[in-house]
Amino acid sequence: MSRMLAPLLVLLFSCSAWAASARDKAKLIHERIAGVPPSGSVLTQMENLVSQGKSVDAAKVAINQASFYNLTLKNWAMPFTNVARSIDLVLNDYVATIIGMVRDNIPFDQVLYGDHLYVASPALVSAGTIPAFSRENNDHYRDLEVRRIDLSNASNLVRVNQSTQTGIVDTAGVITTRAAGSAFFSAGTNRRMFRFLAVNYLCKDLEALQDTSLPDTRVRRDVDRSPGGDSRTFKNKCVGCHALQDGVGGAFAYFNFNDNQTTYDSSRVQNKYNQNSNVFPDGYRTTDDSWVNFMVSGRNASLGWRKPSSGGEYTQGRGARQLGAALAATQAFSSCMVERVFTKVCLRPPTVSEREALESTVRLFETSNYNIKEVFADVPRFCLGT
Amino acid sequence: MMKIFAGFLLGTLALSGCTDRVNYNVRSSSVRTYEASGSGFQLGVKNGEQIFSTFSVLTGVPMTNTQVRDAYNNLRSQLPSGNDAAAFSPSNQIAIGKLAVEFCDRLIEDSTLRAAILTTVDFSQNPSVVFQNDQRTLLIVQQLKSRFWGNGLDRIPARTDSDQTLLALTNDLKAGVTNNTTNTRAIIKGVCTAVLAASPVTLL
Repeated sequence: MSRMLAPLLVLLFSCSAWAASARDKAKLIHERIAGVPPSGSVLTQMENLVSQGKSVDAAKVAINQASFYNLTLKNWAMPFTNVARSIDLVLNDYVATIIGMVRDNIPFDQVLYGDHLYVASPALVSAGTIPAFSRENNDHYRDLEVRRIDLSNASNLVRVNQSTQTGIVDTAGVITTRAAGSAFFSAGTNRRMFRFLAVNYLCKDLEALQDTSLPDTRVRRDVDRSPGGDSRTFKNKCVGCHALQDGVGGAFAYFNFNDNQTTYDSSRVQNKYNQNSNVFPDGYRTTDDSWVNFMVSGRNASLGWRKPSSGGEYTQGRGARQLGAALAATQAFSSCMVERVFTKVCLRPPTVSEREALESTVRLFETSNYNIKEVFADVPRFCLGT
Repeated sequence: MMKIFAGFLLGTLALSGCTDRVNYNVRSSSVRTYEASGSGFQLGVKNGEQIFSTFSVLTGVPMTNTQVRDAYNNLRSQLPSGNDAAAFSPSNQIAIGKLAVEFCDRLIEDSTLRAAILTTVDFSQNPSVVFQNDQRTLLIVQQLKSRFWGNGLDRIPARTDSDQTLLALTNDLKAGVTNNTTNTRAIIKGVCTAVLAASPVTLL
C-alpha cells in the first residue's frame, strides 16, 4: 500500500545569496566544475582559497575531483559526437578519448590529429569486468559507464595508439573514432564530417563560413550547377558552402562507416564521393585524399589560420590528420574551446564584452600548451562572482 | 511493505530585490523563472545525470546500486535534459522526487549509511518515541539539511522557514500511522525525500 503525499514546499532564498560569501562561491565553483557538491573538507579548502582571492586555485581543487572527468567532461564532450548534439548518450570512444587526453594533460589541439585512443585497462578486460575493445560495437565503453568505472583513475582508462588499435593509418584524434564515424561518415557523402568539425571546434556552422567568391574547382559532380534551371542559384548560394566544404572534404575520401565500424581503405576513394556523377559530369572527380583549403584567404581568413611548424601554409594537404592539424592550429579553434568551456561553466554563451575579456583566457590556453584544464580553472572568475 | 511517497517539492526561486545583473521574467504566480539579462550570474538546474551523481554523493548510496540505477534508467527521460532553468517543468520535479524516494529508501534501510547522517536516531524505536516532540523531530530535520544542503551557506532557505515546513511535513506523515519501527523508517524516508529533492540540491 502506498500513500502519495504532495505538499508544495516553497523555498525562499535570501536576495543577496546568489554568490555572497566565499563559502557560497566555493560551493558554486565546485558544483559548476565537478557537477556534484563538495565534501566538507574540500569545501573548506576551496572556501579558504576563494577568501584569499585565489579562485583559480579553488577551481583547480574542483578539477581534481573524479566527477570532473566522469561527469562534467563527459557532458561537455558528448554533444560533439552526434548530429543532434545531445548529451544523453552512452559513453563512447570519442568522449573517453577526450576525457583521457584532458586527464593526462595531452595538448588539447591534438584532439583533431593525435594518434590517441583511450580504452579500458587490460586488467579490467582480463578480469571480465569490461568486454574487450571492438571496432564493431560500443560495448567496451558502454560497460565502463554502466559499471561506473572511475575514468579519472589512470589505472582504469589508458592511452593506446589509435592506429595500432584500429588499423587505420590516417588517424586524426577523435575524427577517426568509431563514434565519429557512426555520426558523420555513415551514409551520405562524407560532407557531414567537416560541417560538424566546424560547428564543434570552430563554433561556426556553414552559414557563417559560406563564401560565394570562392572558385568551384573542387565542387563535386553531384552538385547541380543550375538548380531549378537557374545557374545564378548555384553561383549566388550553393557555391558558398560547397566550394569550401568540397575543397577540404577530400581529406576523408578513404573513410566510411560500414559493418558498424569506421573503415579506412587507402586503395580506393569511397563510392559516395563520385556518386550521382551525371548531375554535372564536368564537376570535380575525387581521385585521392588530397584537399584544398580555400578558407585561408578571403572572409574566412579571420579564422586565424596559422602556418605548420614544418613550414608552408595550410592551403592544401593529404588526409584527415593534416586537415585536423590545420583546423586545430587556427585562432578560431582556441577561441571556440574557450567559449565551449565558458558556456559549460557559466550556463550561457559569453556576451560581446566578455568575449573580448576572454582573449586573455584564449592566450592562456595556447601558452599553456593547449591545457583545457587551465581554461576550466580560469573561466569561473567571469561569471561566478569571484 | 508500506512505502510512503512523500513530498514533491516545488522550489520557488524568489530573488526579490536582487537587481544587479539579473533581470526577472515572472511566468506564473506560483513559479518564477529568471533569465539573466545576458551577463553575470546565470542560475541553472542540474541535468539528470548530475542529479543522479549528486544524490549518490550526498546519501552515500552508490550509483551501481541496482534499485537506484534502475530507477534512474526508468526516469532518465523525465529528468532535466540540460541546465536551463527556464526549461524546468513540473514533470522534471516529479521525476526528481521519485528518484529521491529510491535513494532515501536505500539510505534509510542501510544501517551504516543512515548512522553517518542521522547520528541521534534510534531506529529500533517507534515513531511515538523518535518524534515525541518538536525538538527531537527538528534534530532529525536539521541533520538531513546539514548533510544535503550544507552548512554556513547563504544560498539555502532560511532556517526557521524550512524547519517549520519540514516539521509540518513530518507531523503529517506521522498522523494516523501504526506505531512501529517500519513506520519510523518510512517517516524519515519521507522527510529525507523532501530535503533531498529540494532546490538547494538541484540548482546550479
